[in-house]
Amino acid sequence: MSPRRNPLEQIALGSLAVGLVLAATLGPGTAGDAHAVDPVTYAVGRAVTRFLLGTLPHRARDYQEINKNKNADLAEVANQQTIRQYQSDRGWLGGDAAAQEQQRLDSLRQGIIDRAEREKRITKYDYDRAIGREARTAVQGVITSLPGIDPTAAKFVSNVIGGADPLSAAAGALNDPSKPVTDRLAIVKAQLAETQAAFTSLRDRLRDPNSLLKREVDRLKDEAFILSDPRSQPAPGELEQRVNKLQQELAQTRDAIEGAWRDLTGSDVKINKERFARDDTWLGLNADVQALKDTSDATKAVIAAAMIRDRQEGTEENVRELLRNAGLPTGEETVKRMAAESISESLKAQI
Amino acid sequence: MGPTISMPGAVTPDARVVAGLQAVTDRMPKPAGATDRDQVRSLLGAPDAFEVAFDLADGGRRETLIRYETWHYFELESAFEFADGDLIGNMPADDVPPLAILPRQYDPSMFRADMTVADVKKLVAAPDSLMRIDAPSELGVKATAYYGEQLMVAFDESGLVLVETYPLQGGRSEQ
Repeated sequence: MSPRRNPLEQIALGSLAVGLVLAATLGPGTAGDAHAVDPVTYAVGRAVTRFLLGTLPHRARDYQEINKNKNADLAEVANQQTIRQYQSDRGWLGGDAAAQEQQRLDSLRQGIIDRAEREKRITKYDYDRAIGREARTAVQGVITSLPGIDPTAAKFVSNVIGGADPLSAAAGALNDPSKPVTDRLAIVKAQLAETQAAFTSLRDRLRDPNSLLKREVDRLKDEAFILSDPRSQPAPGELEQRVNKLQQELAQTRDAIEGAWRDLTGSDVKINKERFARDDTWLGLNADVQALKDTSDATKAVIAAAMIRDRQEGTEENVRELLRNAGLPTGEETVKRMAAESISESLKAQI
Repeated sequence: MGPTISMPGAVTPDARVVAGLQAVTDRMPKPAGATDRDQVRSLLGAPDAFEVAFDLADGGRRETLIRYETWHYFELESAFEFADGDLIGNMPADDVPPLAILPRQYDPSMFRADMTVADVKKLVAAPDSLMRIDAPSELGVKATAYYGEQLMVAFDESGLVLVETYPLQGGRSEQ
């Protein structure tokens, strides 16, 4: 009989299996579309799978950059608007081409704003962060107890921070040569039992209730039992060595736990900096913006009009000159494409 | 004559693989609940930490109040975002250290838009320990936050607008 898995493991295994089989048979990018399971389970499964498979490289941005990027993008749109207005005023751009371009720029402007709003939602509200940051700065060092936590656990954590905890007492007891080893180990066992009780009390509130440090406490308690039980106790020479080692390990564990809780303070709940490129809504909005950026027909309409007006030939040289005069990029590929498209446009216009 | 290159055709899923896959999905836990939010809870339990924000629809252009929630699950390093219970996003989130103390005493369902400061204070062990902080004037909003006991709530002129719970951990928080 196979061991019973917890729900999270089942979701992870199921989503991994679904994802891998779909990717293998249908190709990448299809797993999210072909819902073999309902959307919520899929989203949960995807989160589990993503966690299991690790992270992918993505751009990092913080909140300040959202506004900066948005303003830069909007400034670029405003610049294009100015150019188109200049061209319209001179009759270089008109009719359907002008109307289409105006619509494209309006949509692009709105798309940039919508994308930035989504980024803000992901990053949280501005005053949320401002208030939260100020509050956290003010509260640092103020917390000396843990309200809302079981008193046993709160006392333990406070004592750890203050150096008066059971682990410190255990390490101190082992270092006391005035008592026989058996008595010292009895104190250690009692103090470690108290430490375990505190961990149990904190269990539901710890990010990882079975952390390495918790497991180390358990191991030290087992070691203390072995050393104090006449049936498993080693010979005196080895016993002394292992008691000394236990004393050192107790001190190290105490220091590690104290380090983890020293200056206990509030930590931000943060969305990962790589968040945008893995947010489906943002990906959709960003794709819309990119598509709108790449679909302008106005430039070739302007060039075609200029060729008709000036009776110019659609040579690459003429196109390059026209682009330069309009303040537009004159890259080799752009020039070649524009030349071909403009000839077609001007011919259509003249027929 | 040169070498012959044969191109593979489309892969046809093996019926046994499909059946096996179906068996795996059949064994997966089924979400329960009326909303996406309830269903995520049924699969993953209550969040480790969360934010709740009340905001007007369409960036303030409509009077309809929307309840946005972000639920953090640190073990998964993942956050789920909801609008009025509908799942609208699933994002990666930063983990916290193993011995971080989570704000498990709070649940998103405890908070409503019509709550007052007095209502919120009933949820904390030591109401007097909550610190009051006013929003910086340069933000252009009249908002007041109350902070303490792993909880931050913010009110503006319309009422409760933001709730955030946070873990406690050693060391100084990032600025």
